[in-house]
Amino acid sequence: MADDEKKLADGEVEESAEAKDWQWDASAPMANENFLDFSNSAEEADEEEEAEEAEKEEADEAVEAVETAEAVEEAESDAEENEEEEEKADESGETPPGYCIICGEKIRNSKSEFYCNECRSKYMKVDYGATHIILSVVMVFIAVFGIVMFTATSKIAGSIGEADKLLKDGKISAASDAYGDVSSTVGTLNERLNAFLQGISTNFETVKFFDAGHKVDKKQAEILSKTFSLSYDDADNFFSLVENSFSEKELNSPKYAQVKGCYDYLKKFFADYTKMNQDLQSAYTPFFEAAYSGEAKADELSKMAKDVTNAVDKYAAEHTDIGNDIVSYFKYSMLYYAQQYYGVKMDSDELFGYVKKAYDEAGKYDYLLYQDVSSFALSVEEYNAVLDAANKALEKNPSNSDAYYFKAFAYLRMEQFDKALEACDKVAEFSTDEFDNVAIKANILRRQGQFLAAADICEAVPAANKSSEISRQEAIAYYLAGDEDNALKYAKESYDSAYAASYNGGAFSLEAINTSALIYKLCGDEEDYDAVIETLKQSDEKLEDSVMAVIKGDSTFEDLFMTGKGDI
Amino acid sequence: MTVFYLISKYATIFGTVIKGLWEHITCGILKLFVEDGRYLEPTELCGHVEHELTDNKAKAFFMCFIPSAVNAILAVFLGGAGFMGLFKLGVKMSEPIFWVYVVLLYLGISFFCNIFPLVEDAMNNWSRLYNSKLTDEEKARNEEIKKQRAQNKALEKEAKKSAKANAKKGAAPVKFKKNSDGGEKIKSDTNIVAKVLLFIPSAILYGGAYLEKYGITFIISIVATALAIILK
Repeated sequence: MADDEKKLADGEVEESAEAKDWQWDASAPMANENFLDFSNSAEEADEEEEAEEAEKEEADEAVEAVETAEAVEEAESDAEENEEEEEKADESGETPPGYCIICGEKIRNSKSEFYCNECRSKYMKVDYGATHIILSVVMVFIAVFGIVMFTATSKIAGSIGEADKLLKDGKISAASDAYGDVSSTVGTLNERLNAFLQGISTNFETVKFFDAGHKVDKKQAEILSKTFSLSYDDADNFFSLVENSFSEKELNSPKYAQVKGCYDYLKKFFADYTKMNQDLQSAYTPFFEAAYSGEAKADELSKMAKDVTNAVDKYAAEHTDIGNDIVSYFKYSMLYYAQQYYGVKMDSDELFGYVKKAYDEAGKYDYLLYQDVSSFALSVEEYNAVLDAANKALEKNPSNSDAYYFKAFAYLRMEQFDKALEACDKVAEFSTDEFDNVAIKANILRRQGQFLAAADICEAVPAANKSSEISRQEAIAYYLAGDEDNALKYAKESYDSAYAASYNGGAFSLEAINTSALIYKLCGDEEDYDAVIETLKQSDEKLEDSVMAVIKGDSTFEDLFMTGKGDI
Repeated sequence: MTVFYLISKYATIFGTVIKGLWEHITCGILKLFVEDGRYLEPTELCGHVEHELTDNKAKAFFMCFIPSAVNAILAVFLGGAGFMGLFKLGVKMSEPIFWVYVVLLYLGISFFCNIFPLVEDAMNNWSRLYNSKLTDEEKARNEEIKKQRAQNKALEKEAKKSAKANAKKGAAPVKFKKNSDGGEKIKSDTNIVAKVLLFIPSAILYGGAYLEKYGITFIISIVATALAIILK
């Protein structure tokens, strides 16, 4: 044991495997460290070995006493050296380099600079137990969960970031759509999570785990407060966003003054409108019933309409807290409803007067009514009113593609084609649908006499994105260019897609039907023409007078589409 | 200071335990013996393991770097998810996921407060990489080792040569013994490329070890969270 320790201290233990490999005869007696024997005879070597062993045995006995004395002397000398070093170490408070910091012995060939091999094996070890394994497994699960959560949350945050960037760039409408997309991202994540859970066990109920957070709702409410037009559905969505995302304190802060103002205005608007609707039911119901029955004469209906507006005025006089904008809008919506759904011929100027007054009285919230006033103004050819309303809407939201669309249409009707094209390009810049402006642009180009250019931009639209109106414009452009085959082809395409749209809940476009019927007739496709007429008959409709005039030869196709308002 | 350090360690107990675990595992990978494997001792070793210091530069670096990197990655993923959910998305308390994000944020902070190595380890790494110049004695010893190795090589070559010759003659092989260098390695200065490449991570580890020693990472986490709550 003592011998082992001596060997350990001398660094003779743990010789490297490399050394052992080629120490072919470690038991051979060595004359010195650099011993090298080149004797060639094996017999001689054996004899030498035997002789050396015998000599060694004898010598061992003889030198034992001497070695013992020498060993004692060496030990004493070592002890003195150690004492000196220990004293030095005590003075400095540190173990001198090359000595084990645990036992103070020389380190020698230890792998560590600070500990001898003996202390390393005696005191140190890397113990792994059940706790370590359990902890590691738990950590793996936590890490995986963390990565999944990080990825999912980053995806949602990334969508929000894109929308924020659009908002920062002033592309408010596109930002609004992008915020809408955040909800679909969240929906997809929840769907995947539910699919995963259902895969584990069908007992799992559908969960709504991921959430876009209320910051998106706040942003959407802010955008809506500047952009949306008056409709009860939109307002309902706006109310819900504001009520669920803003605290009372936030809503009263200057940062959200626009949201608060819009919210308060709309709340009062719809509350008053609903109250008027209930209170005046007895006044307008006979009018609608008479209009619906179709038995009342035009002058009777006109008188009844007047009674309705008088009743509204009387009600407003009794309820002074109700704003003039609401009163005018109520009158407009009653009469417009009768005209639109019961076919009552109303005085367009009177109707426009009501909606214009509502718009003017709305003050700083007039943009909420700009779509109503613009579309009605277009129908009554009040193009300056269209431009005025669109410009005001653009002051609030400079990226309002709908407002530019109204402007483009107004300029087109006013035959200011360059301005119309300019507005048309703005539609393309701000609309989230890149083909939104194609139909109107084709219309403008056609009016400028660039028939093939008009047809080309329609041609470039992929089939999946092609609307009935784009195909209609293409058919008109080809017919005007003298290409009857293509005119017929796209007239059919327009009719088919209008027909399909009507089956999907949309209205059957009368412009599309009339244009297709006209081109069928002019191109000699009697069979399709008759089919269209039959369809119209089923709906108690007939071709427009302007179309019939072309068919009868009273005017030309060019007159219809290249002069005046340039359309049916 | 130790009290404050311990408060920060126990407040972020999950990260503390896991940092100790990573250090323990790293010791195993690097074959460094562990003196004390208790991770939650109320001393400066809280969240760390007491292990033998190594004079191997690579081992000294990886002993600091691996556990730190793993905790840093976990801090980014878990804390990032929690932070984004609570402050970027602004998930409301009424949503169940709100509490998941709170837990994730806590875990992230917990890992963030336990990123850096023990000061002792960071110092060892730094001194191995940048402060270790060979003494005259070490240089002389290197020369001796080189000489011995050259001699051994010559002896081996000679012995193999004679063994071949004797084998042809049918004689026994020659006996010889090589000089023992005790398995001692030649000590060298750190490669300049390694010094440059490892400078930034080593400096971060070194500085961070002191930040963590005084609980500053914990204070940073609290302040950052408070600011995020105020500014959200």
